[in-house]
Amino acid sequence: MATERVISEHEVKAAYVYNFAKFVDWPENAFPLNNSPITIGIIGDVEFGILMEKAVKDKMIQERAVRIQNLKWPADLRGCQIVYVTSSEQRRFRQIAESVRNSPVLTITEVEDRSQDKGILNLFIEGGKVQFEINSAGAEQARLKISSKLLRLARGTAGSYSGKGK
Amino acid sequence: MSRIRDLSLSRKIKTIILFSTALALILSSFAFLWLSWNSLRDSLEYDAIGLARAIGDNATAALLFKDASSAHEIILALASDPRVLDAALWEKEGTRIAIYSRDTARIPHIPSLPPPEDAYFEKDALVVVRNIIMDNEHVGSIFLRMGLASLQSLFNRIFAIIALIIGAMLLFTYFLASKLQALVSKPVLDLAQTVKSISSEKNYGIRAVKTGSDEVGDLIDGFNAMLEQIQNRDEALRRHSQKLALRSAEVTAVNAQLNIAIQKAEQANRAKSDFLAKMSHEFRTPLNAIIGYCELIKEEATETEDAAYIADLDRIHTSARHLLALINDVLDISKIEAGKMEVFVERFDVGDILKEVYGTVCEQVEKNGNVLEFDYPEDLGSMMSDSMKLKQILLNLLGNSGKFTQNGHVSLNAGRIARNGVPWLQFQVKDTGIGIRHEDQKKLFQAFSQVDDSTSRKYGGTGLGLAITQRFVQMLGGTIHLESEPGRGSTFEICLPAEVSVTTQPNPEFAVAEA
Repeated sequence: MATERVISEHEVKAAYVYNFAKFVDWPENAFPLNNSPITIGIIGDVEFGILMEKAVKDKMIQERAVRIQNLKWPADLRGCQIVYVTSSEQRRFRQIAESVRNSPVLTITEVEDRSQDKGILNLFIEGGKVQFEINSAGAEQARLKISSKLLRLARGTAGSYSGKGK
Repeated sequence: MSRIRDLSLSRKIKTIILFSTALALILSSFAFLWLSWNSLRDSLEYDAIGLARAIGDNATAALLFKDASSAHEIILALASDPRVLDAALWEKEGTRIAIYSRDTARIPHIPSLPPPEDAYFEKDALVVVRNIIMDNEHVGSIFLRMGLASLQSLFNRIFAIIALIIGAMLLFTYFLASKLQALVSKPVLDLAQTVKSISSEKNYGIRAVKTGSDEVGDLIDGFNAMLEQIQNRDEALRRHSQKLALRSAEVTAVNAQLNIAIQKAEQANRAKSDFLAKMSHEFRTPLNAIIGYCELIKEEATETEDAAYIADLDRIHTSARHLLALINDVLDISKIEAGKMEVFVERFDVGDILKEVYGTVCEQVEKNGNVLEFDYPEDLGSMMSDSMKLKQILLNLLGNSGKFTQNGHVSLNAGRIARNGVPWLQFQVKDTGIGIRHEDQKKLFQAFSQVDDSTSRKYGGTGLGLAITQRFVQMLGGTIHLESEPGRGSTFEICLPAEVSVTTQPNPEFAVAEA
């Protein structure tokens, strides 16, 4: 528990994002070149972007380099494979989701409230620990394959894709 | 080994076949078992590494997200493999996140910190530790301990099956060897039986039966050939012994006849000798009287100068003396042949004897116009022998020479020689007389044989002188040799041992040397 306190919630989340990438398969056309890096776009806290940079420094995912981009909305998200929407930008999520609809982009949100729209992956705190849930229908729509190894760790996987909105 | 040597041939063959088969089977089984055990261990290790990799791969997400319950679920999958005894998963930081054990009592045996990657066998378990790698990144470690019990039972089953196969094969081999050994042993046993019956029945007409043309066949051929030879030899021997029996019967018969003849001859000879001895003695007494009266009448006739009678009386006197000499010789010969002639051994000086001989024989030899020469060293010394016989030998030889030599030389040479390291005396009587023909030399020493009857008439003499001489030489252990050429004279050589011991055997060799 002592380590949990020293490591901040955002640090854990950054590590999670990096680890998620390992268990997701993108379709071939998701990358412009065979050796193109995986680009993680962050919309919201610049501070999280810095933590994210730290988490992926000098690391490879599926033999690809990892690149972090801090984005300001509105932005072109089609160059990104992962889009992380921090809680501070949650209000723009519907628009963001709309812009990457049918594109092979893994959207990640951090929503505690069950009623709000969520990305394909959503991080939340439960029992003092960071947990995640997966919207497998959304993943399917984005033509992403999420490893069963990851699916079995998720708290909830049945939720429908929220991006279409109410 | 000596026990095997004493076994019967068939058991020997069976034993050898069984032993070889058993050895081959057991050795190959050991090799097979060793290989099986190794491959079983290898496959177990292979299985364990594969299992560790699979579980580790499954657990990557759980390890990365530190999800202990999920990791536990994953590791619990190992329960389906009864070989897995213990297992554990560690995060990359080294925290043990999940353990599994078939028996909770074993939990203390699971290491709490991740060991380095390894694979090794413990006493009854295989331990495999593998790092879990994802995207070239170390995400954790897995530990597996697999029991060898299943391996052991599998191995035991293989062992049991092999033992069963070996047993069955040995049984089969024994059966086969029992049947097949006859191939080798039967001809040999048959041969042995034949040999036994031949030696017990002594029937060499029996033949061994040949069953094949192998070495035993060759042996049987050789044996039969040998029997053939033995049979032939037996037949030859039988014929020979029959002949021999016949011959020996003949020889026995002849021998018996011979013995009878010999006995008769000896009897006759003895009778003759006895007769001669008696008769000679009986003759001598009246003959001496005749000679004595003849000399008396001759003296009276000389005084009265009745010359007409003197020549007649001389003839009577000469004839009577000749008759006396003849009788003396016959007496000697008959004594010798009757075995009554004795040797008187004494020490005497040889030179003295030679002087006496010279005095006695000189007149008789020189009568025919001959020159008599004696030649011997001064130091001739003495000898141990019969002086009378030596004297008579020399007188006989010199008298003979003088008789058969006219106007020539008669000589006697004497000297000492050594024969076989023993001192001998050698006497040579040489003349320049008429000599003796080769064909006559052989019968010269026989009694009553002069070269021919005319000789006797011409030269006088009894024909016994040389026979007596030769017998005397023989009695003194010496030898006599004759060398002669007709018309050129004769040489008689006498050799006598200087010391005649009592044990000196008469020398049976008195051959006449061929010129």
